[in-house]
Amino acid sequence: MTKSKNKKIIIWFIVSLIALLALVWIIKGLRPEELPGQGFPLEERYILSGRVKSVDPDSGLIISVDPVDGSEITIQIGEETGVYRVVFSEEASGIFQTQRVSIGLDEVRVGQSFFVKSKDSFAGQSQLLNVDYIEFMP
Amino acid sequence: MKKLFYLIILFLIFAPQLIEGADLSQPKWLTQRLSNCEGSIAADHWIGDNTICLTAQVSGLYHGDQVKLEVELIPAGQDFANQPTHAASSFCSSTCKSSVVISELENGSYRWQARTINDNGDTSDWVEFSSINFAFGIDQIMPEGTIVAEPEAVAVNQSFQITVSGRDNQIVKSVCFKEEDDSNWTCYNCENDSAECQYSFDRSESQVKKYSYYGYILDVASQGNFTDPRQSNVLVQTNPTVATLAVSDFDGTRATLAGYLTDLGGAAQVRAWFEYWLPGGNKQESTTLMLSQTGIFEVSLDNLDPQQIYHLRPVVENSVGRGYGQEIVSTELIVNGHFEIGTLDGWKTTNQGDFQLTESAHTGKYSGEFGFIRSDDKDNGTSAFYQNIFIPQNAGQINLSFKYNFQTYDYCDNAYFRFRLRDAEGQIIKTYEEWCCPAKRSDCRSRYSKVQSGWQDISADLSEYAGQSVGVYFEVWRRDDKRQSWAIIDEVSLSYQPIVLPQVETLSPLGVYAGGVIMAGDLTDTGHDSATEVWFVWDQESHNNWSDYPNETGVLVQSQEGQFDVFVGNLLSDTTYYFRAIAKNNAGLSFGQEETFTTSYATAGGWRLPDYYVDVEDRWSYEEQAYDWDTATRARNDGHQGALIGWRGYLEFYLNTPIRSNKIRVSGTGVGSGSGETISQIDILYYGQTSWQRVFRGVLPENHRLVELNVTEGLIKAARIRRSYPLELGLIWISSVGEFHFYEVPDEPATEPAIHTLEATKIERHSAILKGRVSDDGGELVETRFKYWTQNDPTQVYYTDWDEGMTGETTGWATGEVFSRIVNNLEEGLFYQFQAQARNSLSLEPAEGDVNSFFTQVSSVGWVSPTNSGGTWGDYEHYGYDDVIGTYASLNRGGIGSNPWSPWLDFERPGIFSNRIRFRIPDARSGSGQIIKQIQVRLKVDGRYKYIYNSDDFPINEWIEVNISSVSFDNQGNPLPVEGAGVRMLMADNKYFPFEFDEIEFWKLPESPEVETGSADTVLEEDVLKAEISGNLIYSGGVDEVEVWFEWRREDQEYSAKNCTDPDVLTEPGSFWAEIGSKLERGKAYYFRAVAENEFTTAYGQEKLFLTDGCFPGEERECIAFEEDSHICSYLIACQADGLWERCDQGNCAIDDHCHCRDEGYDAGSAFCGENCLCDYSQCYHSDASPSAANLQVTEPDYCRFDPRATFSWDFQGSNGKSQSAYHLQISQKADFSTLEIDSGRVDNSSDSYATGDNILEYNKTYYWRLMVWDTEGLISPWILGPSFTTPDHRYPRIGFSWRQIYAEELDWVAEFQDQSTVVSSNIIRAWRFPEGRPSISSLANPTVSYNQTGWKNVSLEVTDGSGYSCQMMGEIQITEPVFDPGYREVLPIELE
Repeated sequence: MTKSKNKKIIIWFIVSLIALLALVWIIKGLRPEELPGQGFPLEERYILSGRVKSVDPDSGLIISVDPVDGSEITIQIGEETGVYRVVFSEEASGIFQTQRVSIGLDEVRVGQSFFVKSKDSFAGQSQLLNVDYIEFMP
Repeated sequence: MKKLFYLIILFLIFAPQLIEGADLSQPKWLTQRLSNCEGSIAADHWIGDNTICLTAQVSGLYHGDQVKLEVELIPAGQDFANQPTHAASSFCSSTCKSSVVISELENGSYRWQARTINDNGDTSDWVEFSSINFAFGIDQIMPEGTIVAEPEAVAVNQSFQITVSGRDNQIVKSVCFKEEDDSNWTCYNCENDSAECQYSFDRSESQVKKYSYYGYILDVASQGNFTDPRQSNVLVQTNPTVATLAVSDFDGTRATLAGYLTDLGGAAQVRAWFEYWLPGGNKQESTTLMLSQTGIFEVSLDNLDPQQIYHLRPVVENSVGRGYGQEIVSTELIVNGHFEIGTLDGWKTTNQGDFQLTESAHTGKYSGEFGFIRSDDKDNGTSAFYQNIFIPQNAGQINLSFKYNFQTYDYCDNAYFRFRLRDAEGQIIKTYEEWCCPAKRSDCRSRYSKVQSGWQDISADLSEYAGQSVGVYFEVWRRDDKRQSWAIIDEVSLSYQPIVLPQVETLSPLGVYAGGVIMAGDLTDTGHDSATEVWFVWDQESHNNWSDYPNETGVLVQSQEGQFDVFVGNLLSDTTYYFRAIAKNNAGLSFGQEETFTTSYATAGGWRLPDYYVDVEDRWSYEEQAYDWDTATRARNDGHQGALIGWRGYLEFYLNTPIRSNKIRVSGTGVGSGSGETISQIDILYYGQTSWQRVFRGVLPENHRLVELNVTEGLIKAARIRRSYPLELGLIWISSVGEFHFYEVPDEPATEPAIHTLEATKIERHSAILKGRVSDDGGELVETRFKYWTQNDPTQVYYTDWDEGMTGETTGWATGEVFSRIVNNLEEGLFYQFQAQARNSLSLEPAEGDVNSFFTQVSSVGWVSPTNSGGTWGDYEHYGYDDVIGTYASLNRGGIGSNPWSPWLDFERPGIFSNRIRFRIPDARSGSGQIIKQIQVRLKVDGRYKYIYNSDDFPINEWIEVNISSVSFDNQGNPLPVEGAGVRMLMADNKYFPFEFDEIEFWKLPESPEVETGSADTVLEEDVLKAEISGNLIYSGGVDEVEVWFEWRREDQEYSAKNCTDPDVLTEPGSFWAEIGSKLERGKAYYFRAVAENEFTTAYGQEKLFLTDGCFPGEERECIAFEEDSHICSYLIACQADGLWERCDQGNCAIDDHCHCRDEGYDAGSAFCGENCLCDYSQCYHSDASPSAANLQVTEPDYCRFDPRATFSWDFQGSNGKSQSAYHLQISQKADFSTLEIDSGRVDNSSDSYATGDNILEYNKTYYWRLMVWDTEGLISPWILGPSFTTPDHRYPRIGFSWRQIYAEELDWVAEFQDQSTVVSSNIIRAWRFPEGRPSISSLANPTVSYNQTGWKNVSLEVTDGSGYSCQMMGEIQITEPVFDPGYREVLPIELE
């Protein structure tokens, strides 16, 4: 009788524990949607730097990963976008300025570092549509 | 020879056999390349790829042998084993290039060697790739780095450092950074080939902004990586700014201080606190707030010292600096309320009325009650709460709001509530609110009915008083003291919006015309002010500072941001102007960037310049100078190319767009030039045609003056000119073209012109320069002139000659152009009127401008013009003194061999004193060289010419100023009259152009002022003999300021500096006065004269005489003095030894001055003139301890209500601050107090008043009273006499009446009144007033009065007895419907309130 009672208690305890864990999991999972809170306005962003994940010269698209949150981000190269390769002088000594050379997207390689300035803030966006210029680094 | 041939054949046949069995040759051209086998990698270099391509040229023993490359690749630190590690994937035919691609190499440096192997397995010897340290290195590990900008916040232009640190597994090559607006990365090339590198870059920024700097690291293998963090930020800031707002909830020990953060200075947050201190005390600081946006902030203070006024100011601070608000003081306002305003002086009250807190306020927040509140002690006049406040300059939307409820027992004639602003002297600036109870309302007229305005919400805009001190007054006014009127004010608040400078941009003009422009601006920020003034400034020259522009438009007032525009007329045609938009609000003024425009040449049609040229045979130079509107700059035809005579090439002038034209004009070499017979051939090209049409061939009729040529009207696209030189004299002829213009036929038909008369300038005694402007040439160039007449005789009209303009005999003036002409022989001191006139071919009568006027008088100090010229230069001389820059006096030099010196161009004028002249020479060129080589100027001084200027290096198109003092003053420094000047100029030998001269002016020095001496009056004031003297400044000498004064002397003395009055400065002629005091002697004769001095000299008026009064010592005379309603005092005064009479206090003056307590040995108290003109010393006492009393007064009752009684009051005066402990008052009908009516005995009381009871004092009696007081130490004053008073002869009338309403047959309601007043004397005069009744007045004892409607009616009865004693009663009766006869209702005599 005692054993049976203990067994019931243990089973009841395990069931309760599972239910409690499930509840915690549900609440945790729902929290972002159910409890949006006030939040903070996203800080405006105009600069993106990273590496080329893929490039499509025909459609003028470059895909990269946003180093801020790890999300994939698409850069749309428009007609007014400056596309440059940054050239470091081999003979320079001390302080020097790099130079920019205009290039086409067909010269861009996967893995290449780039530096983008957007005309509009792209904070919270997965696409940069109004790009001022993009520089490809060595 | 045959033997040699056979030997070569044999060698070719057997050579392979000769070398068979030899070793393979080593590979050649060893190269290391990128993975795609392209490019090359230099020895000792690192790459970021792990694949490499090694290539070399390999050869077999025989041509076509199959060979390939084998390599041995080893880490750089190891030795070769001479065993191949890699080989090419296939053979190639010798001799060929073979490649070995090696992938998946590990990081590190490598060496390699290579050899050739053929398909037989034969190998060559190894050959190593040549390098110093290693062949190549593999580095696939990205460098890493950080970026830090410090400090994180800096001021504008303050230097800071951006430090980029990099590290790599091999070598860091460069560290870089970039701000997002930089075009390029700024890098540092690291030295020492180290795995770590750090560099700090200096940087500063000029804008307030948050800057982000991004870092990048590059390693030796050209592997790059962004830093982590990717960016570092620097906040560039300025000092924050703050405004002081208010002190609120100030209750003595705590307060809430309010400030307004107006600018964070670019910071994300600022710290804010208040400094506060007591006068002379140390500054204390409140708690600190962190603010992230502009707006109001409040700080609470505790533990303040009560009853103190604190000084305070807000402070805000960001990372680079602090800002302070205006210092104010804390002052308690209405019930701890607050005025939201910059500076507080605290509330004040007037002497009249009562002031108290109130329980019946609207909300009780900042409220107060004031006016004539008390029913038992009414008063009249103005009772006011007021406060003087300073409203900050940088305040906008200034609003004062409050609620009030006015309560009164009176109507409009007698009582008002008002809200006003007054100035520091109490004068009314503006009344914002005024309320009274209308007399037509019966409840307003009733003395028993309190009426209220009800709570009124008032809001007043005080924006116009920004930057001023004003008094805010809440007032209750009463005409008399018969009723109560008071007000409650509540929720008083004054608020404002701190404002900042407005922002404005200058826009391109909306429209540009020949004589006008529509300037445009954009007010982009009003700075929060409700009214921003905007306007434009403009000039023909560019300026950096807005205030340097001499012209400005009218002001527009903008209430909000937006574009605005202003039309500006009367501009010169074809002239470039510069302008800026200006905006001003209460915070200050700002201005937009400078914009420019060029007016078009004429309103419709007119002369047009070619757009470009073609020099067909390259025979011309400086071609563009032929169409720059400047006839004095010229294109040259100087390319003879062999033949010195005959035609040279065409210079073609083209228009971008064809224009409809019917004439052209040209200025060039013609009759009168040195070349004599230079032929010009001019053609035009019509639109759509290919052949040129000849329009002129021959010698241009005038040398370098514009000549018009008519052509067949049509669309013209081009014209051309060429020259032929018929004379072979061995000289190389050069001709030139000054200008070439097309005339555009107006789209609209030509009309009559319109003209505008401008102000006259250079006005002198007998001359003036009249000016006008062509408002509209009507589509044709016009000729102009002036008509003028005196105001005294308008029928006598004078005209100047018609003026066809500077540009030649066949042209005229165009729209917008200014013309002028000097007129002489004017009469001094007269008003002249004048009009500009213009005409063109359509004018039946000349067009006339407005009538303008001027007054002929002596010219002021400054630049003046000549008034005439010598005539040697002909008809154009007047342009040299027309007060218009750019119109030239001119004269053709003449033909070949003519004198290169021009004749003297002499200018004349009436003599003036002068120390400098100025003149202008135009820019006159042929090609690049100035045609005038030398200038000489001579000055006509006192009838003789003296050379003052001779230069071959003179500036052009600007004033040349010459100091003439050396010839215009004599040896003693006395000025000589300057009467004119002459100019002549030397033209280069081979130039044959007009001499041209722009303008000349003389600087007029001041002349002597003229002054005359006026009159003198001597007076005796306060024992001092004074003389008031006058003078009159007649002429200032032409300067703006003249100092005037007087000097005087006794008849037997000379003038000296010590006997001068203080100088006054006069800005225009007129009278002036001064007073001579304290130095004059009696009975003497003095001379004086007026003196005037300007910057040039001192002038004196004529000397005049005045005599001083006096008496002879020993003389006596009676002096009679009296005190109003009191005794007459008379005494003798004597002439003293100095000739002065003793003082005589005549009339109603303070004769008590002759009685002094000290004369009787007292040292305190006051003596006065008593009976029989004897001094009364009864109020004198010894001051060592005795108390006293002053301001003894008697207050008598309202005799209409009371029989005689009185209240006696006094102010106790104790020594050393002691107060009153007792008093003793006696009242008597005798002045010597021999019998007493009242004797209070000693009353131990500190009261300062005593009231009699009723039925003690009698009518028709004079009462005297005196007072004795004790101080707290028991010391006693002497008897102090109070002012006597007399009661009325008898009782005043006691007013009463009764009335009843009686039935009337007609539609009236009738009341009968009975006078029930009690009067003790006969000859009664009654005055009934029934404002709504008929009759409205009556003098009967028992009048009957009709009313045409029911309701409450005012009734007053005034009774005057035979002694003239008058009393009045006011009451109300209610007229009702006559349902039944109510009989008489009696109103008993009542007492008036």
